Amino acid sequence: MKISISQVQAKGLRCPDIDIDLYDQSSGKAVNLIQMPNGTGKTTIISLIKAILSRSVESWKPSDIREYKNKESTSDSGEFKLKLIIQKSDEDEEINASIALKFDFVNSAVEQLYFNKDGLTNVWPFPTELIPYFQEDCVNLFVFMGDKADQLLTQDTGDALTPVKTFFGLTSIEDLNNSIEDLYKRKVSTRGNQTFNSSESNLRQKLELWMNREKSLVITYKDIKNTEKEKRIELENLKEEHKKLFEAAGLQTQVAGLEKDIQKNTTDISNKNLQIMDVMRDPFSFSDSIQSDIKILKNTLDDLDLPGTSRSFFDRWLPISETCFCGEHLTDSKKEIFKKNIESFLTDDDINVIENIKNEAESVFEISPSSELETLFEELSGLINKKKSLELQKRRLEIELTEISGSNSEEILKRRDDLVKELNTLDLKMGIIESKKPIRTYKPFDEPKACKSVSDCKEIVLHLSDELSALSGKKVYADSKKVLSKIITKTLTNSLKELQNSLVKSTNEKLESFLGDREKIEVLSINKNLQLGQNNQEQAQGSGAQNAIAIYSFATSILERAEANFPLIVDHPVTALDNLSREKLGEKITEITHQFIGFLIDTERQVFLDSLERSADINYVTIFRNWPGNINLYEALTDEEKQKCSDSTNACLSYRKDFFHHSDMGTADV
Amino acid sequence: MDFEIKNALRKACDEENLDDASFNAIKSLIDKKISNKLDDSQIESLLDNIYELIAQSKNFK
Repeated sequence: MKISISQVQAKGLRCPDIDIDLYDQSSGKAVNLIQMPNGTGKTTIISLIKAILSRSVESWKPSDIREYKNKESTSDSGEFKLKLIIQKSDEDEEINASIALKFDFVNSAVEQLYFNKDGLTNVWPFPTELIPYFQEDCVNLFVFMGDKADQLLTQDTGDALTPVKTFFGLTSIEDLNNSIEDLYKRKVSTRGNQTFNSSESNLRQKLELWMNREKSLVITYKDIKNTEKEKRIELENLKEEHKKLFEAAGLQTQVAGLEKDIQKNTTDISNKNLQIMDVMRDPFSFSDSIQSDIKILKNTLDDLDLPGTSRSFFDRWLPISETCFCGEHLTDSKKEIFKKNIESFLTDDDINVIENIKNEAESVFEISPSSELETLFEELSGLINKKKSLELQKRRLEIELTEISGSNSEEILKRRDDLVKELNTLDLKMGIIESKKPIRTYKPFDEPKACKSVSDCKEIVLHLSDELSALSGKKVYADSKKVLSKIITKTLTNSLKELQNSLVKSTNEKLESFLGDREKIEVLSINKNLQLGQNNQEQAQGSGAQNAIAIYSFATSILERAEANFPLIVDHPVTALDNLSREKLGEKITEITHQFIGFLIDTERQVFLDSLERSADINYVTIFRNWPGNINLYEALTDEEKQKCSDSTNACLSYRKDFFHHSDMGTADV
Repeated sequence: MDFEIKNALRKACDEENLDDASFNAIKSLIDKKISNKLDDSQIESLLDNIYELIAQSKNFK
């Protein structure tokens, strides 16, 4: 399947009023570079593209809608429109359709409108097979912020598994599994007109109560999850705002350096913990007394001259020997004494055990008692002290910032700390709902309210459903359903594992082709986050370039593997990249996507543009605000461009290559 | 359907000693679900058929 964006239109919003024509590989220009100074509305355009593609508008709050209003404009309405070209497969025809967002700022409302070739339509204008891809976690895979690539790499904010599941249909199979369970429970619990005996009625009532409990826990879980998501976004935005304050105060370099050190320190602590756990698996490493006890045992065995001689020795020795150990003649009477006492000697097995104990005891003394562990603990303690010192240094910088920028910074810090606490509480609540106990804990299943866990509740509902189906003559149905559920669950687990392995492999191949031998980094696993590391050793994150390239590699691996030709839309595509990575990305961009839409600032042109121009035809787009501060840019436009600029209320646009190359736009024009 | 899913489904069906008819019916259900071509009532009727096939294959009746 292939999706391309052919035009972006905006009017009356926080971003410029503009129509941007875009192209893809089929029209000869796979690369679209949209150059806009910071503060012109890049992020607004990208977040609106995301909102349309992920259909997240439905969950917007009035405050979210008001955020998009152009504060300079008196207009109470606005519109954002995407023209899309969609092709289900090579054999299918291309479908041209548009999706628009119509803003009503008086009522803080937004309406999503669909247009097909005949005009306005009230139905989704694209094939229904595409619906699963038009959800936030999937869209985040091909519309992302290049300078915030690390978000997918961190445990808290990352979600690498959802796109994997969605792009390969596993989300649909999970959904199917849920439908199977729901249908089963419904069928089993449906009353109909039959009469039931008392035990069946009792079971039905119980099942109903537990089903209601399950529903209420699922709703609670969803609510908590949504709140958690909102708070995480708020936290990220606060961090971003705080970063800007640091930049304005000239402290950003120090903070960035400290954060890097803190991150490295966190990885070091985690690795040290793993090393300690490894050593502690051997009990001798942490207990001197075990060693001294073993020593006493060994000495005792030595003192007793054990293992000594075994029964089998006497059995063999007595019949053939003429001389005793003491040197005297071994008389028959002496032999009889030996025979009488033979049972008191050790067996061959006993001898082997004692030999082994003595050998093992010898080897224990070769280990230096607990010194390795002591050293490791000392090193860990050093790392923890370093962590405290780094955090203290960061705190001092935050206080310095508060002194420079005033109460705003203080408020951000306070809100940040509150948010962290609130998120911890929410995590705790989610942990309880996700927890698991043996279902016998709840027997005789009389108190559904005592159950706080969704999975326990689900299991009990299934258990009661099975009991009821056996009572009501639906055992064959229940047994068949059990087999089907088992098959689908196994299919989900095993295919996900295979897909994860295959994607790790292809992502690493891409990573290597981008980074070469100069920076050895690899993706170790794809789970909640994308876990980076080296030589099978996890690390929290890579460098800025490694992080960004890892995300490009992961995203394109999934899209390629799922045969999903989606546009790659990236804000600040190369800000985080060094020159060599910029060059590599520029060389390979047309290999990894049929339509690249990069929103960049002029400082990102360096190296990236040269490399891109060697490998691709580019649609150059330069956009700037039509403000007096941009008079030099305005003067460099052609007459035709100037005419179009005056038609627009607030922005100018040029598609010229030389204009794109030579426009020095600074970092902001506000 | 991706080959990883198909392989995993085949293996899971083999482990349950299901016959080819059951495997094909389950595969078809999953295929339709992935391509978003099913509503609840269609799922219900396909499931009834699958349960029949499983019951026969496993001698539940």
